[in-house]
This record gives sequence, C-alpha cells and structure tokens, in this order.
Amino acid sequence: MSPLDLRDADALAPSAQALARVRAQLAPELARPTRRWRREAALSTGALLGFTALLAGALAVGGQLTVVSPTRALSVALLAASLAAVGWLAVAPPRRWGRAAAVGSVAAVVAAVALRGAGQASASPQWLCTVSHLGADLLPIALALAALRTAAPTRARVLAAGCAAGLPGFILGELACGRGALHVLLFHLPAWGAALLLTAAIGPRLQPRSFAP
Amino acid sequence: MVTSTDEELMLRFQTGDEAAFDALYERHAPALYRYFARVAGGRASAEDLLQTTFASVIRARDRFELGARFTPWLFTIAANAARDHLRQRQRAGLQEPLDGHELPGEFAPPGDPGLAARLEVALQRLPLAHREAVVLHHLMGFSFQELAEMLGTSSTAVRLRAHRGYTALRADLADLREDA
Repeated sequence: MSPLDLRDADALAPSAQALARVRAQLAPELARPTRRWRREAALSTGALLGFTALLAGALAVGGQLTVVSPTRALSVALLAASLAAVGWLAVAPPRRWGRAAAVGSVAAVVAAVALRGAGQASASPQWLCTVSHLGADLLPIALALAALRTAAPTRARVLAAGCAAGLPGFILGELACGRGALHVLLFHLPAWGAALLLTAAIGPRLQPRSFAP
Repeated sequence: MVTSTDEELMLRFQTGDEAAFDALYERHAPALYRYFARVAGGRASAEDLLQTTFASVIRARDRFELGARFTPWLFTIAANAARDHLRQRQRAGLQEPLDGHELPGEFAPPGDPGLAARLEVALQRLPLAHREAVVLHHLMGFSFQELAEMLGTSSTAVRLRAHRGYTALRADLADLREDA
C-alpha cells in the first residue's frame, strides 16, 4: 500500500443503519413542494424592477422627474435591461454568460456616466445624491440577499446580486439628477459600488436554503 | 434489465418519482459519506453532512439542468456543504481532529491499522483547500477540469492545491517510506 493509496480501504464505509437513519430524516424534505428557481428568479427580478418603477412613479408624482432627454432615456433603458439580467442571474444556476452579464451591468453604468456630458448646475448639496441613492438601495440590497439565499453563493451569483442591488438607486439618479459626468463619477458611482460591496460582503455569510450551485 | 443513468434518475426525480431519488441515494450515499469522513474529519460530521447534501438535492432538484452530469453536481453540493460546516466549526472554536487518538478505530483497515490511521491523520492536517483537492482528485477520481468547475476556480489553481497537498502528505509520511 503506497502512502497515498487509500482507495481500497473500506474502513470508512458507512453502516447500513447510518444510511437508513439519514434517509429517514430526509422524508419530511421530500414531502415539501418544490420551489422552482425560474419562478423565484422572475419574482426577484420583478420585485427589483417594480420597486424601481415605483420610485420613478413617486418622482414623477412629486415633480422631481426633472431630466427628460433621449440620451437619459437611453441610459435608463440600458440600466433597466442590465438590472433585469443581473436580477435573474442572481437566482439562476451558473451560466457560461453569467459573468458577462455582470460585466455588461458595469458597462451600462459606465455608459450612463459617459452619456452625461457637462450637465446642469444645482443648488442642492452633492452628497444628497449619494444619500438618496443609498437610501433607495436598502430594499434592493435586501432583495438581492434574499435571492442569494436560494442556493450556494457562487462568485458569479454574488457579483450579479451585488450589481443588481445598486442599480435601482443609480436609475433614480439618472431620472432626478441633472448634474454632469464628474458628479456622477464622484457621488453616484460610489453609492452603487457600496451597494455592490455590501451585498458581496453579507451574501456569502448567510445560510443558503440549499448548497446546490 | 436496463440500468438508468444518474441523469435519467435525476430527471425522473424532478417529475416527482421518489423511487428515482432512492436509487440515487443508494448509489451515491456511501461514496459521499467516505468523502465527508475524510474532508470533515469524522463519522458524526459525515452523517450530518450527508443529510445536508441530500436535503439540498431535494430542495434544489429543479436547478439540475438537462445536459449536466449528476456526479459532479452532487459533489459540488457536497464540497459547498463541507466548507460551510468547517467554517461554522472554526467560528465556534472547534478544532478538527488532528490527533490519531481522536480518530475512530475503524479508520484503520485490517492488516495495517497504524498506517491507515497515520494516512488519515496526515490528510486531516492539510488545509481544507488542499485536502479537498487531494480527496476529490485522488480518491474520488475527478479530473482537474471537473474539479475546477465544481470548486468555481481555474484548473491551474486546483492542480496547484492538489500538488501542495501531495507534497505536504509526502513530507508528513516520509518516515513510512524510509521504513519500507
């Protein structure tokens, strides 16, 4: 027997009683209804998009939806599409293009910054945007963490959930803030990054419902 | 009689066939138990982790997709469960068994109890990432490519972990080689 040759050693074989005991303990699990991941992904993504729409609606009703232009509409469309993709991938089993979607989400955010241009002056303090952004992201962060708990927190899923958590606040900024690219870079982007990092820090520490990828 | 593949059984289980689950359990539970006993260090942990793993299979049966292979999927779940279990033990301040006296006598095969116990203790001494790579590659027979997919890392990283594990085991067991 070579030092590493343990394959034939059957000393660790479980007893029939141990296997039967474990199998018996699994009976209640088998009796529970199956949770379909596609349904959970649709609910989670729908909640994120719905919450964003609700925020936009509140802004419109409150007369705060001040910035309406084709480039801003393009930014919002890109960000919303990205939110739908990463929201879905935060729940879905691993996909080959999963990381690409997260990268796409980053690209949408960068595009939104680039499309800003010089912007307009505003009397309100700049940090107000960061605070509003983070405030708007609280519920999305909770939703992203709940999405992560559905299965093992793989890196791709954590990344997707983190990206998704910060996007509703970012979209809110696109709709309500008229300042230029530098302001977005310094006061919106850090809030999005904070939501991403917070989700990525907490998500893997939560007990998942299942250890499946 | 035609034997169903694991994948066929899993697809049948997804449609509610409990007998298919039982067949999968009978096929894979013994190997998983051995894996846990080696990676998580003992029979009590192995039994708990076996239950956790199959409970995950039941809860996440819908996540197994057409075209996927069942055994790597199952061992991905097992590796995730083992890592979480060891992390919780570490947080609780519990040590993994490092001393041969703490290992149950049944670790030793008939004929050479001392050697087998030394091997198991040496395995337990490896850092988790290295132990995982050695056990899954050498004892469970997975390729480095499969391991990389299961552990969510690159094939090169897995090779390196296994190499470090083998090197540490050789160093730990050097005196056995000299005796032989």
